[in-house]
Amino acid sequence: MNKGILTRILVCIFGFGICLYSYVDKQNEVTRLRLEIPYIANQIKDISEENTRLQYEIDQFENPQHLMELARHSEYSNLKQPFVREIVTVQEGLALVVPSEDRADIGQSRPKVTLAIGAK
Amino acid sequence: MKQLRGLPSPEDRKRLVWMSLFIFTIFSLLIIQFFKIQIVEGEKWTRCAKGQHQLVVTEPFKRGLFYSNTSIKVGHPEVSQPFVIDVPKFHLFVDPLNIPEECKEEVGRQISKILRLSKDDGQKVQEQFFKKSRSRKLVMWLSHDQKEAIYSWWAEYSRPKKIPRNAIYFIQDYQRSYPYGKLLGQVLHTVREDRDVQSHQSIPTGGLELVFNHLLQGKEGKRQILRSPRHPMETGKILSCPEDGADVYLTINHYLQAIAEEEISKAVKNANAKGGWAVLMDPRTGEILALAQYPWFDPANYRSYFNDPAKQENTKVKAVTDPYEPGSTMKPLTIAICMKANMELKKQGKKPIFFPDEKVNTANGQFPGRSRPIKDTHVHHFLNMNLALQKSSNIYMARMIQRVIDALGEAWYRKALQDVFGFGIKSGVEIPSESAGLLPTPGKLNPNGTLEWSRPTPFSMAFGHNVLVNSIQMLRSYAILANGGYDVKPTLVRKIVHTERDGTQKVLLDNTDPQRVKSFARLLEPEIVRQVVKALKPVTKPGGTAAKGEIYGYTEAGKTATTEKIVGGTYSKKDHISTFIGFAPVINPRFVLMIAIDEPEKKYVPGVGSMQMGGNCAAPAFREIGLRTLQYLGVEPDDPYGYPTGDPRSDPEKADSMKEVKALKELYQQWNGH
Repeated sequence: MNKGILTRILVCIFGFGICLYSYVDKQNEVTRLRLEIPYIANQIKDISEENTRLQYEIDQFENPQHLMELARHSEYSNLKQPFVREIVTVQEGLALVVPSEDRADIGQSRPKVTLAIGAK
Repeated sequence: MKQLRGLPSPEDRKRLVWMSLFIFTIFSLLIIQFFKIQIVEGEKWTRCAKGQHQLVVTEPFKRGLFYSNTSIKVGHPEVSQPFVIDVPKFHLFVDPLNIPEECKEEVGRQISKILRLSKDDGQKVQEQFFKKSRSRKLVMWLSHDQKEAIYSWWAEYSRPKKIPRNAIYFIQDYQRSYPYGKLLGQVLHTVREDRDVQSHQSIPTGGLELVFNHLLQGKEGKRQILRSPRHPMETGKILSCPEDGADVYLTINHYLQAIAEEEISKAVKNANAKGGWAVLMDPRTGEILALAQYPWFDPANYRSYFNDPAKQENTKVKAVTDPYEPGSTMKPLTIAICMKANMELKKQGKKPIFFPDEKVNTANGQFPGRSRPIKDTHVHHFLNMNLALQKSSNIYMARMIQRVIDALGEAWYRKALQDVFGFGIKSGVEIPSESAGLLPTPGKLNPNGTLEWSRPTPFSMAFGHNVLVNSIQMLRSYAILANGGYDVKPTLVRKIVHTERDGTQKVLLDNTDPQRVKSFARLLEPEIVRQVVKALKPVTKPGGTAAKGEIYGYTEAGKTATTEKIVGGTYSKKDHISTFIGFAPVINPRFVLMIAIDEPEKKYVPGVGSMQMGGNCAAPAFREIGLRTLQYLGVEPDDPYGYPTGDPRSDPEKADSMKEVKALKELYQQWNGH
């Protein structure tokens, strides 16, 4: 009988030990993740700020005054502002919806126009 | 008596009592002290403990931005295009008490070398190291790369000398940066480099930054952190999240603005003028699509403008702040009022004051109350309404207003100018310091004691003298003619949106709501508008005063003016303000545009004429901006034969209004003999 109680106690202690170990392990995991948060937050912040800086540089390059200067170069002399009737607005994802056999018809029926792809 | 075994003796008991009392007293004192610390002085010690263990840091917010109007380009994606970006930058600080005396000079020298500072700036940086302070600002607005360069050098330098690493530190801030440089400078303005000490908010220098400051401002957040090496600054309890400011979506399109700025600068330079401005507006919605002014104001270098009295003038939006006499551009409005008077008289069952085709004697410029006769630039014996606008006759306009006053009175005329065209009333455009102009009031005295409205005043007002307006008021008046007679409210803002931290957007102001335009009341009857616009079309054709304003391939209507500026209370014969206001295409106009050239050089060029005239210095800019705007908007030419002689597309027989122009020419020769 004493042997049975001892076994049960040992099993309980063992079970308790496993639970305690997994709890501590989980706590360690949480702590590790918590310690990672500031670094990841910093990385996100840095990437976001780098994006802002790059956007600023892109916008500086795409300054309309600069684009107008470029448009005056002879190599871009073929470019012109399209008339509204020349612009065909294609809804996003339309190409995926149209069956392949119908696409040829679309190409034939449309005039040769400038496309503004992705407009809503 | 024999003492019982095991029981304490009386001395021991006595000692025990004293001992108990002593311990009780000690514990009592301890409890009292605990009570004092925890209850009586609890708040004080809690505060003290928090101060030692916790630190509250502020989280920066982003000021709201201004965005371009990309919706006007039909068929193109509506992308968010900011006019201003808050770029993260760094301010460099030093803790002089933490740097050994012998190292200060070298550290200062190295920082100056890394940042490539001038000798003077380097000297100023050096001085900061010798101040008795824990925090001195050395340099502002450093880039990320500059910061890294200083940090990497400092890490190497401070370690062997055992100088605390935080003796040099950076504070992050957002700098208002302008990717398009000076574009829209006067309208946007900027914020000062320093901030409000109490609120840490940016201080606007003027323009839209000032008008919408209360919405652009954000709110700093607060975060509580523990003073412990195990708790980096980024962790901790968030007490309050930072709130970014609201974004303002403007009606200005960056591309049209660039076109307007390029052309207005050319026009000012060609005219050798003091300055000039161009305002482009949608005549139906009142959305201002471009507002360009030359000389520029570069927001990034705002100090140089405010520190130089000669350049301070360039910081204001003159189209809004500076009233002027509209001169001949007033004449179409005078005609519209005369036609409105006709309708009023018809309602009263009386006969009209004039007919558009009526042959009016314009040789005699004598008017009641005037010591000197009114003159035209050329003597015209007889004119009708269309000829009067084409030839820009002062006498015809004054004669018509004389008839209006005789039939309906001065008060009716003044009320029509105020109610229909909004003279004397601010247009409400979102720019600070708008001038309401001056619409004379009968019986009111000028500062010099003379009457604002005397007997000849209405005759002068008929051709744009004795009345002051700002450019937006004039543009609005022409927009009413362009949109078919409806009211219009000029605006620079499409919408104002506040984005919450979770991404949800709250619209604080929405001028894109169709109900806004629907609410605009009719001010002029369609027949009046039709007649006035028809009379304006020949102005830009051969024989008109602004043939250089014709937009080839498109129909347009407009009017030019050249007015003498008032200098020292009298009209200057030397300084003029030359303007052109017009719209295109005539049917379903896409824009109404005003060009103003301030103080063009007065000179006569044989074969061309006086270069200070609006037809010579302002009208060409109207043509260029108008043409490029219509091309940008994808508007097809509606006058396919309206090209200059020699162009293969030209056909004077088929070109718009050319038959009418020919008929006017014949009629003029018939009535005036030349």
